[in-house]
Amino acid sequence: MSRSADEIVYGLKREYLEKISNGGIRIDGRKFDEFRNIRINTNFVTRAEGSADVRLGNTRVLVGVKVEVGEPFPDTPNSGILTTNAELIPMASPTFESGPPNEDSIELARVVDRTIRESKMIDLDKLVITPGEKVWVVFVDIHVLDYDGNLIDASALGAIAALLETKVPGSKVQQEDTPLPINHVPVMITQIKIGSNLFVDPSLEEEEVATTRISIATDEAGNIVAMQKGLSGTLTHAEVFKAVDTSIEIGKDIRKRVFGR
Amino acid sequence: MGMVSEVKLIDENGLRIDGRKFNELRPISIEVGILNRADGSAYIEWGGNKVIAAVYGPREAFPKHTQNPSKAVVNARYNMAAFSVDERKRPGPDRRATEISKIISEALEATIFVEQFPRTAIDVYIEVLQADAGTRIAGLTAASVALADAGIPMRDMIAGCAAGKVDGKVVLDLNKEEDNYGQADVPFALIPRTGEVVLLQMDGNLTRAEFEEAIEMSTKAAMFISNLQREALMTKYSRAEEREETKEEPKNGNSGEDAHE
Amino acid sequence: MKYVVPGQFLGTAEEYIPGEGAYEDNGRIFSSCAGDMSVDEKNYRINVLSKEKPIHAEVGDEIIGVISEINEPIVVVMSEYLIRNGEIHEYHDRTLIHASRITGHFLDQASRAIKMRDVVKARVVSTRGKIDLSLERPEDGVIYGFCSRCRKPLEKVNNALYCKYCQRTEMRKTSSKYGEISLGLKR
Repeated sequence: MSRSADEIVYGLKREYLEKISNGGIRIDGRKFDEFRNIRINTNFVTRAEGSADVRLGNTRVLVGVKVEVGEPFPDTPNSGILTTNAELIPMASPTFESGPPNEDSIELARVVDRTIRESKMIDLDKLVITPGEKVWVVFVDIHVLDYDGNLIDASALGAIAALLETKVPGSKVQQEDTPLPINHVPVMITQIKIGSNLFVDPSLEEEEVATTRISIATDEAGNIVAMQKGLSGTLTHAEVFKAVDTSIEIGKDIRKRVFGR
Repeated sequence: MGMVSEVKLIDENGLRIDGRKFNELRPISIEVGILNRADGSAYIEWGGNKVIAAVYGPREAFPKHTQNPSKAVVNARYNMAAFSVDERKRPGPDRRATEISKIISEALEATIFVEQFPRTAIDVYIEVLQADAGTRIAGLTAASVALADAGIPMRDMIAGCAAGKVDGKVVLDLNKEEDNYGQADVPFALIPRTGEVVLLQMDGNLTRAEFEEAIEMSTKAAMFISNLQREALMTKYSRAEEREETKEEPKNGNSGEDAHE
Repeated sequence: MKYVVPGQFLGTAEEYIPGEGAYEDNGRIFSSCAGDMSVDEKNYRINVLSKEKPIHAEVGDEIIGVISEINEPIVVVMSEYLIRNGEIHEYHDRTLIHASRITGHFLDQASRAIKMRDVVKARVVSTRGKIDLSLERPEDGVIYGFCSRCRKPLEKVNNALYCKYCQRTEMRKTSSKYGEISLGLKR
């Protein structure tokens, strides 16, 4: 497809979304701070140590967690390992291509990884089997099945839901199976800017024309634990602070509604 | 194949480790139209296997040199999620997945009216979310339904089933343990209406008579699975009818003049 | 009407001719699609209409697209949307307009009435081998034009397009709905 044709059409769509947003309306009728319907089905993949099938509106993401025995990193001999990977498989969208992870899937994986890691959601220090020799390695694999916008929040919700259900397979090392040691439950909230308005949980239609994206993860205390500004547009200072306030507020609501915490 | 069987796979009553008889299938369920973005999709649960198939196309084949001026190119991509197996699998295609993708593409091409769509590509994506032996046939079975869901014209929906040999006996539809410790595995698929074979592989060791027995069993099973495929499409259709609240009489697609003789 | 699936037996070739979504094999007719079967008794045809049929342009459809190439007397439109029976579908293809099908009058050069990057609404007039469009109806034509000097959107003033930044007028074959057609329509 000719890139310039796309740009013109996106430009016109953007103009339209901007026009209606100034009248307080989003294209699918949602309020600016309204999430789409969230449905999570955990332990969908019984072969994994934890899993979650997340639907955020028409976006669908499957997250599987595998916990295996591995060697610690030399600089953190008394700490387990968390690794996060995301696959934007071509099943999910006509615009995704097969092949090694591209920059979009790497960014997605790293943003979700930071949300889990920096919130200290998992107590990695408790994942040691033999100090300096053997630790548990937690693999979080994000598999995007259906793309209708906001993969960051859908993937983070899926990763967190899956980790909350994850069992450490102690039986592999003649110990007992235990739940993953959990300290905190972070929530990631993504917003995009269209015109001078910020929308939470963008749909694909909104995301396609957005120039700026901001994702903010917060913990139970309302502290910020991870952030990512995306796309080539800009935000004013006031917009950044407003986005933070919205993320704290909506995050609290989602933590309660989805995770009961 | 070929590992020495330490486990007894068939007991004194002739029952297999999961309690099945030698010619019994595992439970199978098929759901149609489960993804929004793809042109057609289907989900199959077959024993412990959980597989999604999605179809895009016919669409412009890209890059251009892959186009065929006389027919559509069928590209199947078989992929296993990292968390689909006991030991986490490194994401991305390996030699096994590449081979399976090729034979599935060829099997599907045998039934699609490819000559109706010159210069286009029909992309079929098969994602194994949980693996329990027999994933290629489960994927192919789901892919056929997804193609019908996408409205792609074809002679018939392909159906198949594997048979093999465990503890010296020919059995239908091997599970994971039987696949690991059995003596032969024969993945097999056909065009149900005509009985033409579209996929056939074998590894292990079988006598001529055993092979014939395996094919006979698989053929019978494929016919049964073919009916499940049809029922799955009907179910989606009748649901769509309910949603549209048409005044017509409820449809009953299973008429007496069913083509499967 | 009856719902049928691929491979299902529909009738014999002595009675019927296989129509859309059906095929013959050895004197017997089978469905090639999942969809509604209907029998056209007058023409002895059996058809199966699939709801999920991939969309292909048909004569009478409306196309919205962007001018991507002008190679006199042919204009290439990269289509983005197809409108049929009031429903809008995403539709990406290379479609063509001949200079003689722009205004309904003789036009020596297409570029007198159309410029690169204009967004047009057009009607499909032929689908044989390639997809030909026409801009002749009053509602067809340029729906968004961009100033060829500064690239900003043009406003429609009387029958011409005007750039308020460059204070210039440009000529186009405009649609009677210039600037009104919204691309924010839900797919």
